[in-house]
Amino acid sequence: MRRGIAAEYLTKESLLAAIRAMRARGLVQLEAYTPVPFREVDAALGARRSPLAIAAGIGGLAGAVGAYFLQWLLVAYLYPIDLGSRPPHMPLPFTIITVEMGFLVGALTVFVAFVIVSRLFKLWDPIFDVPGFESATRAGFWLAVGADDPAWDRDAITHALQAIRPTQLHGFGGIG
Amino acid sequence: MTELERVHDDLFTRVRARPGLHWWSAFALCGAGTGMLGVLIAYTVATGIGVWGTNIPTGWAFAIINFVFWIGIGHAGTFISAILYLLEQNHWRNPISRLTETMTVFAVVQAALFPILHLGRPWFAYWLLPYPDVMGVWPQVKSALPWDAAAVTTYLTVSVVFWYVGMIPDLASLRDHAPSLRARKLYGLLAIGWRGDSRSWRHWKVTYLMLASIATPLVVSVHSVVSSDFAIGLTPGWHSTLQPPYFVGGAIFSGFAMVLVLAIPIRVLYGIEHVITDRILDNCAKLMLVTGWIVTYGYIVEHFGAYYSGEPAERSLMFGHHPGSLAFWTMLSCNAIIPQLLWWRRVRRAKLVLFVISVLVLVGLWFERYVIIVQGLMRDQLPSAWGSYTPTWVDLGILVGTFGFFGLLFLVFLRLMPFVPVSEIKEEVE
Repeated sequence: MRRGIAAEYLTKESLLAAIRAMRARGLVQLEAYTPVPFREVDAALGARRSPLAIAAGIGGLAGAVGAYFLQWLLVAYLYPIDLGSRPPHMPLPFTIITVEMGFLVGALTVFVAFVIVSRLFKLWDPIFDVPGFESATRAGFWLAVGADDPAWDRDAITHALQAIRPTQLHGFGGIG
Repeated sequence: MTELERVHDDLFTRVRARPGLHWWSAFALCGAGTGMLGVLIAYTVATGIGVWGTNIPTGWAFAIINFVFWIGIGHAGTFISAILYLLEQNHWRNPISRLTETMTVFAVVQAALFPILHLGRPWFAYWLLPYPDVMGVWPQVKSALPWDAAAVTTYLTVSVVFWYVGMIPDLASLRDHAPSLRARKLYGLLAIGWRGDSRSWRHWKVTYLMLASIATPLVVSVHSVVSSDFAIGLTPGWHSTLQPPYFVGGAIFSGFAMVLVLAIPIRVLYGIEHVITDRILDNCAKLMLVTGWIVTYGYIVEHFGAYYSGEPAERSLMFGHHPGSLAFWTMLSCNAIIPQLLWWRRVRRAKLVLFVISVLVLVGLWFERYVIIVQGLMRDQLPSAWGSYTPTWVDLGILVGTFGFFGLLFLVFLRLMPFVPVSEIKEEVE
């Protein structure tokens, strides 16, 4: 969110009331910033389920299949060694590295996907310029409304947010 | 002031507290130990592993004992932070989860040093990885060495990722409330732009859950793989399907002992007895008792197996050699007999006694690995191949040095990082 209005509330209940008030006005460009996660906030914002569990599953499966194939390629195809007349392609000893690589690639995939979908590694965000926003990582409950929302009406939104008694309210990204 | 503000300020005041004399004294001691470790590693690499006491038949000795010992210690960290998270035991898991995850990462770092040094030519350690080399020679994946490389690399990487993901919200909090610009920049980089928005929290919860789900089987798999190094060998005391559960039980046992050795002084020195409560220590002690019994059961089955198999080498080791061995009796006393004191609540609640028992369990677990590795190799199937083993001062120095290095990493973490998972405790409060 590059520009808009941000309001801080003292409690989760006030934040939820503010989210509902904004959604009742047809606003969709909303983001809540809280010190800890809340399912109620996600529900109030109408958020969808995170797809990262699927990413972990796909990554893990790809890692396991890739590791098995690599082992077959190395010791059964490229450089087969006769170890006590055992067949070069032996699934049992391949299982260990297959399982381990499944876990490893699954974990790395879910981490990378988390960073991408959460838009992390963007070390600065316009919301950080809001005075007092650092309370979001302490105990403050913030709601930001984006100015690019089709239902944007600065005065009406300010009035509605103030009606729920925020502890502070500021514009950011050039919004006064 | 709201409850959230009170909890946040209370915990972060302790996390950011300037180090006192106790911290500097420990830092100096551990720094000296780390220096000694560095010098002895340089000496070993420059001279060759002939400076160790390893010989034929005892080709695996301190290096592999220390490897198994340290990687075992890491297990309780993952057990507490991942398994207890999945079982929703957050009320006693959260306050110690960061300490135990940190313990895991730093213990695995110590463990990883040993197989690499034991190669003799550690600069060729990368040969264990399947990189496309011009000679067309690949790692032999039916051998235990690449299994260890895969298992330890996976465990270390997943532990670091799990530890780091859990820490991101707290790092952002440190960034936002740091007193100096330099600290804000450092924590700002580490927090990778965390904003605390609902989208990030939603993905964070799922990521953390997925990582916990992946880390949980790793608790079982890593030491099972390590135990397979032994179980696939024909050496007496090694060649048994008992090894995986026996190793995993011992690993969690030693891990809980190390958790208590760290948590008991830290909670007093940092004034967080109200966070790491008596009940948490009591629970850890109970789990130490449970895992202690798994290990004791392992000892019984191991000896019964030797008797019942009728295998002369196994019988000779278990009933001929063990009864006269000080290492065996140290192991048995520290791991099977002394922990029985933990049946009594008064013992579990007496911090000093609990601390001493935990230290003795660590001693016992180290000797357990000595008994398995060194004594098995010394007493082969062929009596003419029997040998003896004496560690050198370099062996002992490297072992002591790893404790120094572990302590040093831990002290730096205590000084700079959020050693209590503040956001998770705040979530519990909410």
